[in-house]
Amino acid sequence: MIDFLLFDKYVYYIWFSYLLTFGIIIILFIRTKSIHKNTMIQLRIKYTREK
Amino acid sequence: MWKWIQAFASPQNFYYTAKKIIPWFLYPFIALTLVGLYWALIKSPPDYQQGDSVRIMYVHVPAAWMSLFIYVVMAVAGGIGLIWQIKLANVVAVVSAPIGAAFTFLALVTGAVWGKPMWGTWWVWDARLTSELILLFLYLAYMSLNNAFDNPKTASKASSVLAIVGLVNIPIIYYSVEWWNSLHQGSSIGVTKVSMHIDMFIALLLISFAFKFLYGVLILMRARDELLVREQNSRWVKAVVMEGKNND
Amino acid sequence: MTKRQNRMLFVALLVAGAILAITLLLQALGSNTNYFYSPTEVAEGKAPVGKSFRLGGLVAKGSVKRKDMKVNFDVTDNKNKFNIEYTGILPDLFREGQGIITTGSLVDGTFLATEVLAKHDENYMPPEVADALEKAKESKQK
Repeated sequence: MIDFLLFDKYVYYIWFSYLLTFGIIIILFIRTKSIHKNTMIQLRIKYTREK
Repeated sequence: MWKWIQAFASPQNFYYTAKKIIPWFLYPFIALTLVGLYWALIKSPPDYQQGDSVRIMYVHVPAAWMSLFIYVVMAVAGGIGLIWQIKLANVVAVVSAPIGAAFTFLALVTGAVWGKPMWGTWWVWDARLTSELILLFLYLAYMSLNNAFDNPKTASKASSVLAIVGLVNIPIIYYSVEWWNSLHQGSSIGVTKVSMHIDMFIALLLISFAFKFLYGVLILMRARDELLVREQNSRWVKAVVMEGKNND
Repeated sequence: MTKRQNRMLFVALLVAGAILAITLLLQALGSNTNYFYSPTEVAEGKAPVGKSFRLGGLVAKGSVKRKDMKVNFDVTDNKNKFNIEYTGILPDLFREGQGIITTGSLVDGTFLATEVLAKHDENYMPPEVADALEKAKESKQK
């Protein structure tokens, strides 16, 4: 089952490329979430202070 | 028509519409990624010269395409923001930059990882590789210029100018392999010809569409937050933030 | 002129200026931006003399001779060719008929290489297809 993913001598190069790709995609999503959280917190602080 | 565009581009309207259309980008992204991975890693054949290492192409080339595509979107949106002063255009330009930079970085690194076993080197200073590296620096310069100003309006003006000037690098990257002798090979995908096996081409297309949808999801999500920050003095933003209306 | 037209003009001038500047820059750079010279260009004396430069072309069929780590082969563009001498590890794609780029200098007609890089073309296909193509080509020649 798994042998089709054990590519010839380039196996490490290939896996590194795909893992890096998905690593970057995951980081982009996490970063997007944390920007959202931060925005909400900052704005909430600002509005509460204005009251 | 013009009224309709203005209505859609109004920050408040966009904020709600964007939330509704995010799933329309998220689910195709997931589906295309899964099918694309199957095609790239299992279904497509190894190359007659490069063996299985050709599979690196299916992330390298789509990432490189995205790096150019996002830059054009960013510069055009910046130009629209500059001329017609549409807030939403500026927001799209600003949130595109880090995503474009990420894809450029990915294209450069996967290119190096592919170049090492095939060409025999991680990096050469040929026209294609050098111009792509300049693209990464353009993205980084754009981002730091944007951060250098406190007022987002002034920041957008300055960074849009940079983005528009940097646009000349795009045709240079694209045609570099034709204009100069380079180590990097020419394009396989042209308007009139595709010089690769059909299963390889399908894998390439699936992943490149997956990346397009991914970009859609990310700019919609990030544009919503950037809009809140830029419109923080308007009443609807306060309502969104304080009353927890639609704020997930 | 309205303010908006003013801004349009500004953006247009910006684009025009950038294109002009880059065109002039590229003109000035000229062939310096070329990563390598072809054997014909070298034969015409376009490559720097007595300095290291890059030579690119195809590995001539039947010209590769190996002796331990030392390799001798010809690089050709089907018009001119040069003999290359290289000691070291060759990239995986190195083979006869393959495009390569080599760094080194010309000494008494022999190119002493310090680096050999393989270039590949924009054609991708499975081995079966490549075999079939090769066979079709051979039968045509007969």
